[in-house]
Amino acid sequence: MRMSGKFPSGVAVVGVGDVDYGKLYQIRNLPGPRDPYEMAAEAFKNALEDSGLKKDDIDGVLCVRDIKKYEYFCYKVGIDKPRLINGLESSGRQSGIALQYAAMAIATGMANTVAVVYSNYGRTASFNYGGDGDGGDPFGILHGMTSPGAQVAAMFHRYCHEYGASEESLAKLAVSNRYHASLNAHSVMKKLFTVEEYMQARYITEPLRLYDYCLINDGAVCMILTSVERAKDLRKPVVEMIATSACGDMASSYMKEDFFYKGLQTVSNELYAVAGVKAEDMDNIQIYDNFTTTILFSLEGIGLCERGGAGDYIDKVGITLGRSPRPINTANHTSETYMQGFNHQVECVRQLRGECGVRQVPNSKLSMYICAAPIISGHIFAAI
Amino acid sequence: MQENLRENIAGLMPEVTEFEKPFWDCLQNKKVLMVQKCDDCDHIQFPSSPVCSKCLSGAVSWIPCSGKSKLWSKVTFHKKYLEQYSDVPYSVALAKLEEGPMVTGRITNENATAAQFDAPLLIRYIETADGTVLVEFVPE
Repeated sequence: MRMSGKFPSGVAVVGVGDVDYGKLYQIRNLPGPRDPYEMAAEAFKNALEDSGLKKDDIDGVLCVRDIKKYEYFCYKVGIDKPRLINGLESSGRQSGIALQYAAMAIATGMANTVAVVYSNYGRTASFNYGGDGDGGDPFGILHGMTSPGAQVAAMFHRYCHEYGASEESLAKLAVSNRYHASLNAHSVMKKLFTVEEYMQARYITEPLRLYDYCLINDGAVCMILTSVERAKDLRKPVVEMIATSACGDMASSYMKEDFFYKGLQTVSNELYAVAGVKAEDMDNIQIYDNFTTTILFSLEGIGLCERGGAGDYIDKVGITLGRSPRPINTANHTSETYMQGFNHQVECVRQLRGECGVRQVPNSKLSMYICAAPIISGHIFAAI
Repeated sequence: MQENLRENIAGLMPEVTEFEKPFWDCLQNKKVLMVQKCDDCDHIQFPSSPVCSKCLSGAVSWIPCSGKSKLWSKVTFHKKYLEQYSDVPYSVALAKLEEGPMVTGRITNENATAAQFDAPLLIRYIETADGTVLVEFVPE
């Protein structure tokens, strides 16, 4: 446990904004890449509108991924004297961390109201995801080992050997993710498929198939955080971040021989201790899924089942809305949108506000976000 | 293993610092994979570090690995990511050296299919079309 179990008491998410990912995805033949700052500005405006705050109320801005030039972004939206301002790099592990930095700033008084703004124009800018190799292991890419999908594929292959898991468990996750995405008007992919159709899809890096991979799509997200006290005067029901935690999983490679287990345990146990709840108390859980495989690893790491038991959990307890006591990934990367964890965190807020329409998890009071990556992070949010 | 398509592998080489040069020179010129051993606490590590990652001693030496290893995992690439590896499908092995560290290397598709997890492997050194020396794992 950390020295202070009190953080992040009194921090709320008061505004969420995003864009229509499906609509953006369908627009082809653009004369050039989409402007990441334009999408970010739209998400920012939507989040302000959602919160009822005015632009001048924002005194902290954290810019993530393709708007790393934070001065550029602030200039474009006319924020000239933010008290907290910085940019975070492009990896998905930053999304949970960005919210933590915002919460720390609010809890310590460094800033009162922080907008975390993320933008991704990877699709129209034709980014070559996976071709950069693995930062920790210069030897890998020389031998054709790309990252991190290949690293995750290798972990899953080993996991199958150690626990007797099968590709069919991934199929069920991919099918469930697609079903949830079909219930969201803004999703990129809504056409349902079956386990059999999953198994017929082509391998990308064997044993992972097409539907195990995150989408590559453009979009932007903004989340505005402030104190619970201020939140009470704002537009929407208050959603408090009642626990947050992170733990690096540092090694020579993205690939972890324990499938992120120890780090996930550290983070989730701290979340439960600080929030005074247990995994089974969650009404819905949003798991960072750059690949479906990480959902298996996370279900075990956060203590919903034993090691190697995720496949059984999927069959016996269930993960899908309407068939599970705590649906997993009503927001996701493989079918809804690849906003690198931000869409998951937005979903936590919307579920707790009861704004999710046909994909609403009834009576959602507690929602958890967890991300298994070289920086493992997670939060528990509560409707108060 | 067919390596005649493997042009410009050197384009995938990391920037080699003065510190790491002996490692790469030894692989390229002597066809020996070296790992690091701490002179003070005997800890063995790979990839390299300028210090022992266990005791932070600066007295770390390069030693040749035995090549004896066990298959930890394997993947087969069906999608082209790299110009140098456009001959999909191709396979990559992740093997644990008997000295401890995990090493990524080439493996033929046939051996990748046949090799059981934890099966003993040996290192063979192969040359690509541009003369770069790579590590290939073969069944013992």
